[in-house]
Amino acid sequence: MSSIPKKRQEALKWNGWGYKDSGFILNKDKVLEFIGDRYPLGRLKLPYFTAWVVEHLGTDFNKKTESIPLPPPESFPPPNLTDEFMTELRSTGISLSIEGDDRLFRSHGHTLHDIYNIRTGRFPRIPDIVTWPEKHDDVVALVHLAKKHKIVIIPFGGGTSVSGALSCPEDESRPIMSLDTSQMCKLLWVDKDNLTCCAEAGIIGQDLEARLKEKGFTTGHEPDSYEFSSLGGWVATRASGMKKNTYGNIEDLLIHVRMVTPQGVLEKRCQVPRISAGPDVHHMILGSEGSLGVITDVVLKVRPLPPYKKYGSIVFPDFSSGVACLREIAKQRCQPSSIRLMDNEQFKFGQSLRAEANMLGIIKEGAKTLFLTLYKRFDLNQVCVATLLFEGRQDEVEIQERRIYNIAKQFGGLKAGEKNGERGYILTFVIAYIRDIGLDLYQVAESFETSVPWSHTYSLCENVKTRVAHECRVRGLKHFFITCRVTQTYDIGSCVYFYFAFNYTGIEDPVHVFEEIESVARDEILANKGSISHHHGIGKIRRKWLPNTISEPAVSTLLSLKKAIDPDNIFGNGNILGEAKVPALSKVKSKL
Amino acid sequence: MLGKNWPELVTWFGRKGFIGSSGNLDSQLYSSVEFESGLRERFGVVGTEVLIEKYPVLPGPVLSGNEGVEDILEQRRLTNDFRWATKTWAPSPSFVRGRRKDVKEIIQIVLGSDTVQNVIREMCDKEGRNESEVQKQAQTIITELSHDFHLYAVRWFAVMLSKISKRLYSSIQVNTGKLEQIKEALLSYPVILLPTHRSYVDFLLVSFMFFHYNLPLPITAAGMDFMGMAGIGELLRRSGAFFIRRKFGGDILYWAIVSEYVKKCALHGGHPVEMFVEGTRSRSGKAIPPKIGLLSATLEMVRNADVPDALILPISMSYDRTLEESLYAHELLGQPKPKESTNGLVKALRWLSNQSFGSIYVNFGDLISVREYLDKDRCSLSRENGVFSKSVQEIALQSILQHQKHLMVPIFPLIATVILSKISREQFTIEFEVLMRHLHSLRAILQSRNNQVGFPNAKESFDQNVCLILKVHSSLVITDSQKSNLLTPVLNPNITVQFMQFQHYSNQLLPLIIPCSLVAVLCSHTNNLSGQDEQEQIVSSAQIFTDYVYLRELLQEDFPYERGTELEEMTWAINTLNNVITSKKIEYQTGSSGILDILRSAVEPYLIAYWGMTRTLLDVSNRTKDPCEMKQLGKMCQDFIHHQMKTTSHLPKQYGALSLETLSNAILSSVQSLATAKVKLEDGSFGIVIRDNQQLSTTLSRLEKLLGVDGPLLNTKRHSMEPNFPIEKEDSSQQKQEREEYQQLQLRSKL
Repeated sequence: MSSIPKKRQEALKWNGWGYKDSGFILNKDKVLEFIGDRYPLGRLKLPYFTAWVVEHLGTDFNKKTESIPLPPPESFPPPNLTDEFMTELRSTGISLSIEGDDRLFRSHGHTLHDIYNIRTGRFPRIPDIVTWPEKHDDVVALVHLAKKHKIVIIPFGGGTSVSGALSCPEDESRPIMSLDTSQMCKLLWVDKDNLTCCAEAGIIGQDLEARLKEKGFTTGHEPDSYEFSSLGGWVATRASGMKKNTYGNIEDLLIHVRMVTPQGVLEKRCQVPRISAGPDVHHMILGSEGSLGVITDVVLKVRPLPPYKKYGSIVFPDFSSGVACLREIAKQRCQPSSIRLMDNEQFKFGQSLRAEANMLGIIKEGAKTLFLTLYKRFDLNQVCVATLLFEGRQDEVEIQERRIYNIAKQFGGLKAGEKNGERGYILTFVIAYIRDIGLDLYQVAESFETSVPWSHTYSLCENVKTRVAHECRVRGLKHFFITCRVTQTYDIGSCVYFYFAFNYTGIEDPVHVFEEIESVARDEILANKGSISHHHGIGKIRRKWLPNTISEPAVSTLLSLKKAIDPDNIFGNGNILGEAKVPALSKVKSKL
Repeated sequence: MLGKNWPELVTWFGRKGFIGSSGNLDSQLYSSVEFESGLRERFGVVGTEVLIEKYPVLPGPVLSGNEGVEDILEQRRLTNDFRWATKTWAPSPSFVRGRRKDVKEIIQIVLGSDTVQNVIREMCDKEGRNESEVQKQAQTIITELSHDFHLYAVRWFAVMLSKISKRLYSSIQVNTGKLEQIKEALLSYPVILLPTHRSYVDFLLVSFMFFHYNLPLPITAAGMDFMGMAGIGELLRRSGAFFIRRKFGGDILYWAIVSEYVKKCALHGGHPVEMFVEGTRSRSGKAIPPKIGLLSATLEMVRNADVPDALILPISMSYDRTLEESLYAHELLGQPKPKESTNGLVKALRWLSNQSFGSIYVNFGDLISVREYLDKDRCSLSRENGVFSKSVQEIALQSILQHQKHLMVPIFPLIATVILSKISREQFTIEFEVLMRHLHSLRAILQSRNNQVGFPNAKESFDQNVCLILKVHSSLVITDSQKSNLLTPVLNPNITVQFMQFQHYSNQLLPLIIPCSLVAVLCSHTNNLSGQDEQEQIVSSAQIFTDYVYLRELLQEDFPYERGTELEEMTWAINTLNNVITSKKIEYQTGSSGILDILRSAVEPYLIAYWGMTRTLLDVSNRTKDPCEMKQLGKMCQDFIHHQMKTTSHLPKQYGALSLETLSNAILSSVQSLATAKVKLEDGSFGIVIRDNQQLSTTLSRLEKLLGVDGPLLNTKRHSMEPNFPIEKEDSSQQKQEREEYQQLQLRSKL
């Protein structure tokens, strides 16, 4: 059984992130508080965070704007479906729903745009029907039906997309079916000899890990969304996990995949460590974002569970020395499972997300601060922190630790203890909940990411922050917050993650302003040799930059591929290229 | 050729004169005129809306006094200077990339940078020197170059400047309207201050002003000349000046260090960087064609994506009376600049302290985003140097146009323009009332392009302020005490120096009114030439536009402008003149002393200089095919014009034409038009060879027609073209006098 019920809205928020029983609230003392027992943070009052929000985002706790309630069933547009199709669909016995809330829930992902519109009742086009296939053959049947009745299929996994990939194209005249894979959630087998496992594509991250743990294994694939995101979704978006240094990204883990397309089932008919057989068809499926077919099952590598796990952290005098240190660690290829570098703003932000300290805590904190500022002459407005996660055998971890801290020393870094490191990782899953309380208090927030060569990592981080700050100022935004962290290291470069928020009091259309600034930020990223995306994917919101990124011949290749696999555009979610205006190719109408 | 599509313009330039034409000329022009495709291609066509929006039609509300302007000396006169100078220094925050670095760290970063180290290695390989020697050389260069900012030095300077300014100036008027915007800019991005450069005072003034408003203090690119002044050089260095050699030829190490240094200062120093886009003080009072070397070195940080953008803040500063007024006049006539020395400074201060210099006016231009000019270059993979330097050239031009757009024009430039038009016709007195009438007209023209006229005393009327200014300039203009409504310019035996001084002021106004001046010149010319029948008049109207463009291009070195805006400019000029003349009820009459004559006369020195240069070039080309050294050529031309003015009665006595700066611009203009070419001579200086005799002759005849000197003048006895023929030889007593006066001036060496 999946941890998430078939009626998702029973456990999850219909208009925000995550579980209904978890999240931030403003308590009656006007102090922010995290509630819910699912996370190690526990129930926690956050006085420092409350003060931080007031100082940095100018939050006024007396002004709240709450989401509209879930609209009544009759208010949704009736589904546009023929009886003929419905009869034939019912005869297959596949579970389906034409309820408004089921359809609404599957009409969006989790971009700011999506959530803001849902909260304010600006509903987008919603699918006409939701189906829940339970096995591969169900999917084959659905695709066959869709082909026959000219229905568009949009595959839906965990619904955590942040690229607009799930939204229905507004100009689509055909009926749209949301194909929810969540009921295809079995771990099919584990092969202990070859260290592989096979699971159905709808299984969500936490379930996959739980099942494997019972058998003493892990995939080690842990994207920040892994509580909700699905295996098929990872493959379809080229996901990346926090611990990729030890286990690899999804493309490194992937051994085999089956995808149901309008032309039949696409797969590689072997499970081998490597193959030289022309262009790799897996790479047509990886990152296809639901525009070519539905992924039904996946074989991944697994590893035995690590016997030992340890957190750590390093304080650097400033961000540039932190980046230089990460570069050196990458050069020596001695990265621990995870290493992340937070900038000064995020460091201070993270510091505010803690419980009220008792006397002893205050003294300890004070002593640490004095040590840093007076003895080490660190400027608290410049320092930044790297958090580390080591996994493996204890002796291996100890050797690795020593190596890392020695390198850090060369760059002025100081070991800052396990606690700081651990908190950093605990916060990872909680941070996603902040946006909802933010929206209640006139704040909009979003994250965006990129990958960039080492030579431009530092300047990209600084330039994007500088540019965003300037763009805010020229738009008259008084309170805004822009911060970044380096979340992955590679041989040639890094992955950088930005958080951006602003107070939208007095602004007519905050989402539009936000999107304008985000678009400017992406231009700045590209000017600084960064990429269009490291792991979020293209979806619809980054389509405009793709032709320039991959060159025109590549665009036409992709369009021909789409045409060959899906000539009727059954998988017409418009992702990746959509109706990209490529001058030389403008006559090609087909969508990818 | 253009048919009847220019109806209003015909009445304009035709015999009917200016009366009766409607104010809405431009809309008629654009709604009906269909340009010949050739014209369109060449100049581009500007939409009607843009035009009307950009230049509101006169008469608008007349701006009173100095609006939005604050006198920063007023506060200095009220409170204690020491207490002010030692105030807690908490400037508004400024852009810093990463951790703020002091100059010692910056020096280390510069010397350790890849750029500098690569050059050092390259030099070792090429010149076979050992590396430590070259490293040492690099160390020496950067020590000589770098600033050494200390707040105490600034505070000390603040006291001194406050004391001196209060004595010399009645007010320092700063337009504060953009301060908030500037603060924001200083926080967002590296800011490059590009002030006008009319005086040594400029750089001190900017720092003084920034100190006053608690803005982060700039570091400033200064010439090495200051380092010759014992003590002063170091003091300047400590208050944020860094010193750049005027010439460093092919010294790649020097250039690598300088360009790395300015970038790193802008990025990590936390100070805005100030430089003078004109490269040196403009002796003539108007913009010098920009020097983009240091600016492009700095802007490379945007090109290389070290920062997302840099903002350029043009600052217009104008003075009622320029400290260096008489020195400039001598320099423009060809005497060398006296060397800066501390001794000279002390003497100069003593002399200055008995003088009054009126007020200073400061206005900020619009911030220029460098990225907007580089955007194409920034994202493209192929990074062509040519594209980049063209963009920087464009930025520099925009800065200079911004300087002009936001200049608060002191009153004396207006007065000087009127006086020059009189004394060039050998009228040596002018009634106050007549003067005022012309000043009102000039002011109206300025207002139609939103330039304010600076009032030393904002509370008083225009008339009162004119009187104040006349007192400040008592060394140039005498107000007759008996007949108080009569003005007489002070006339020295050495009239050329006198003229150059007036010209220095007139030149501050001229770039702002040049379209009007050119239109005035062209329309009087048309009046003389246009035939009787309508058809011919129509053709000549189109001809006027062609001529306008021709003149604009010819004079581009003296009056920089934006290509493609000629039509817009000319339409504005016609419209403005129409409004000014009809609203003032001055009838247009050829040969009258109307405003059109003044406008026409204002540009005459340039037409004469360019005419003289063309004549000289033709003469040279008849004698020899060898290249002629540029400076020598300038001298020859100066002699020729001087001679012509003395011998030809109907050539206006516009001695401003003798300015070597203008003459050298005239040469450059001929190079630009490919009539001549610049070549490097054996001794390293530059020479000119003639390429296109025919083109020069055409230029000559066009200028002669415009000046009305065709015919008799051409037949005058050919002037001797002996090189280095000094003016003074003809009048040895005058030469002696000039020399004496100049020696005195050298003693009063400038600040």
